[in-house]
Amino acid sequence: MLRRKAALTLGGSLLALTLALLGGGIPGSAQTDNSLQKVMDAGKFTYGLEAQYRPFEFRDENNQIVGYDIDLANEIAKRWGVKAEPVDTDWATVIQTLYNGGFDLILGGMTATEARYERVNFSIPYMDASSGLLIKADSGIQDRQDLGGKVVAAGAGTPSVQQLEITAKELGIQYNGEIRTFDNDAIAYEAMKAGRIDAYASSLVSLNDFAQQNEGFAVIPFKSEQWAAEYTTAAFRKEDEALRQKFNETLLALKADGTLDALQEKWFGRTFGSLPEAPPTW
Amino acid sequence: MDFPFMVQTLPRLVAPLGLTIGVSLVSLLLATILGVVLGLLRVICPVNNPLGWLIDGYVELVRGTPIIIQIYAVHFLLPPLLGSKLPLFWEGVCALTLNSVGYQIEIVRAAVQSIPQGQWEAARSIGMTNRIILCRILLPQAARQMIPPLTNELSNLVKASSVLSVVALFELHKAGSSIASSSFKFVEMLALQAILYFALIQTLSWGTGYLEHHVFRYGRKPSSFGTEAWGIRA
Repeated sequence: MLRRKAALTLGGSLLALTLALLGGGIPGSAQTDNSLQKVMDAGKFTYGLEAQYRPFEFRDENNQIVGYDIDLANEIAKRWGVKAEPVDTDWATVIQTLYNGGFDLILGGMTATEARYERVNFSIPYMDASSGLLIKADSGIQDRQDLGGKVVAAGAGTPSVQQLEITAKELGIQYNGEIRTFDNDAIAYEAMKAGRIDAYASSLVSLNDFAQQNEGFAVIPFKSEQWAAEYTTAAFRKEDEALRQKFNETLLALKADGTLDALQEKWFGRTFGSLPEAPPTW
Repeated sequence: MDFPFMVQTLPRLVAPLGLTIGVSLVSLLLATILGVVLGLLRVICPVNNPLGWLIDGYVELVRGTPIIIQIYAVHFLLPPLLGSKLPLFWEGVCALTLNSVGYQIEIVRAAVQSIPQGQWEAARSIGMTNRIILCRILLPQAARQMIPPLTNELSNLVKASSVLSVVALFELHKAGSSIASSSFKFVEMLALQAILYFALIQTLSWGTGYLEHHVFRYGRKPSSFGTEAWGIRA
């Protein structure tokens, strides 16, 4: 009995240790929210992204990170009187790294989704994240309906995967094989050039950027009543409400005075006027 | 293939290549020191000693888990353990060192155990202490034996450093994929990375080849007894 109890205690403390290690970032309920104060005291905020997502964030000829998100972060930092510093990170683990203290917030072209909302809180939308389908210009695909019998793909862990699943069910079509998933858009583009996939679902704006720079590709909208409109937002730790409120206030001001429109014009060649003014929740 | 693009992009890969070389060589150095110490401990450790079990367990753990998991473990478990974050470079060194030590323990153990038992006995019979036997007889011979497997390990380490891209260390592979996704030149960037890794590993192998044939050339066996005998007869 005693041995068993000792084993249980040991097991219990190992479990507690593991939980403590894994749960280092799970919000404590009794913490006071000094997230905004910390940024102001440090004189800077850091934001997580993966610099492989044109035109939101990518590396220029000098390996510097540039893009829509970077300009937006700098504009917000300017109004707060602090500096903004991008932190290049792995997108698949970006939320875990946020909670591990890798950066203060995520500003990396993230689409607000229900699954992500379980871990983070979103800012108000700063960009439209509607989906599109990239196809070869001569493929004859004109609509979602034409995807039957085709090899389709999407980015791993993106909402586009579910949208392809919904499409198959909704229209009663069958793809050629399973839905392929890729780690990032660049690999998928190469797979399409090599003829390994027929259609690739991702955000409309990043696909447009690719199709404009590469001959022989076209982008068609990927829409359905079955999924809600999608928006790009910043993401915050659940407990960092003060920082999120301040961020939202500044974002509204940027929308009101036309700064956001100017940035969209600069990076996307057009504006996306009617974005909602409330953070997405579920 | 857009060759002019590859040439133009080369300067952007210089700093990341330096990082790859740095992280691999520092890790190899630390891992070799730790590997020699732990490998020797493993050899002189009596049978059924807990220390031996620990070392064996460590070797099995490293060999039995993929390096990508080990890198994530260092990235996510080390900060709460240390109470602070290491710079990414040192986090990478940590992950690669912990990985490489596991293999080097075995390299050292095998090399030392390959020295015939008779040498121990002979050395002891003329009154040498254990320390002198180790430093003057066993290690110098084992060192030379260790170089070929260590060259393998070095090339593994350089290539494994590419996996550090998953924690966003801006080394050669991360830089290559970043450039690929901003320029859409995916195949070109893969080819360029392959060439650079290959050139780097070739250079390092020449270095270790030099060590093997010039610095540690003592105890070198004649290439064949036959030719020697032929020489005498002629």
